[in-house]
Amino acid sequence: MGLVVAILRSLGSPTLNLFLIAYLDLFRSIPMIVLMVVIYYALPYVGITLVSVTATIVALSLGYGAYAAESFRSGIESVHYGQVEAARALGLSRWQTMRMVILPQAIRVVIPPLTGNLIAMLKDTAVASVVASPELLKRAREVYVGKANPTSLVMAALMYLAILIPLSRLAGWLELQLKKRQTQQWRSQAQR
Amino acid sequence: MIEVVDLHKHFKDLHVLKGISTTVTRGEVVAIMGPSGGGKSTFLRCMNRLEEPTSGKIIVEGVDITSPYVDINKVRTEIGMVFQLFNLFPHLSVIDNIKLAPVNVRKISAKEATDRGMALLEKVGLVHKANAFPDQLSGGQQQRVAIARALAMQPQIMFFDEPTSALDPEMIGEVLDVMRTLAGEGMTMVVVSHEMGFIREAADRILMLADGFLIEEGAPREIFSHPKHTRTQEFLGKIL
Repeated sequence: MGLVVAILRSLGSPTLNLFLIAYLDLFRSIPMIVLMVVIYYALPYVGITLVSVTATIVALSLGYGAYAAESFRSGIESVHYGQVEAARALGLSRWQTMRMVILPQAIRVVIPPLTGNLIAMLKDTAVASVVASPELLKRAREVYVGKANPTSLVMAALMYLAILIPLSRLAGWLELQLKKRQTQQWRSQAQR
Repeated sequence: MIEVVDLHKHFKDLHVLKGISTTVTRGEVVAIMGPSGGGKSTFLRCMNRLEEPTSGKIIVEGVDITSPYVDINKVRTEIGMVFQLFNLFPHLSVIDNIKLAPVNVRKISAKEATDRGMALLEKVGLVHKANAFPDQLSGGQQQRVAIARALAMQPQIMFFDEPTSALDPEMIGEVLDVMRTLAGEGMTMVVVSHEMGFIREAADRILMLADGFLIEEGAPREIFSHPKHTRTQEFLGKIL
């Protein structure tokens, strides 16, 4: 979703950009918890009823899609304009240029920040308990209430850690790899 | 082969090309020279519409490419372009750089594209680098790959936009050698360059561009020994 928005923005149409920027500003400004509550409790009044799991997915997609779009955009913009010119001069269409030349280079740049986004999103799934989504925190609380034993809550916390610590290590590692490759490139360019 | 009629180009308030008209015939090697900021690169880039001309006509093989109905991608497949900064695709190996457009635009098979690509690498002396990546090559090698990449589309015309300006002196020769070979084979070429030696031997005609005007044109021998326009004299005085 973020990728689609970023590609649309790279087209540079002023009218389209107005809408896209409105989307980005809107969803990056709304706290996730508010977004979920609005989608789950308020949308039924205008005739859109979503079950809690769907509401959660929609809210997370809209909210984090906006962040991802900005990451992708910075990645796309980091690709040197000469790349576009070389591709177009060979007769590749705009879309082929995007798909075969720009995105493969942009995605490498974007992976570390995107992993960061993913981590934030996984943590925000806990927010979905407010719309009664059967996610980890809600399940843990049910057990806690049923048995009057906080072990389940501790377990839930540990499970978050078990998933997220490896992920944030992965993000750090990816960033390091990217930096290494860049310094290598700079070095080989400097040698020339 | 290419006919340019009264070409103008504005960048906002800046009038870069002020009515250029000329023709390039098949098999001709045309060098574009002139002081920097005179519109040389812009002129070249207008001829495959990397820059949109403001007004005027550019007729390539009988087709006015400034027409909004023209399929510019198709026109560009017939015009190979080599850039000052090479612009190889860093995420693709040398051979994949060369194959990308033939496979995806000309729609030839991967096998055929590889064969053709290897033959071109042979020609530019870089067969052993087929699987290397651009950042593992020297500037001169990168530029030779860029030439092979452009040739892989089997274009009718080749454009060179200051192909040796970003190179260390000891690498300029290897790139000019490839260009000389091409010229010798009868390729139609338009070259923005100040390599006097190359132009003297290989070019059929020089276009002198200054301040957006085509101030003088003629055979290299004539222009180098008897420049008529004062700007040409000044310019040649500086670079000789």
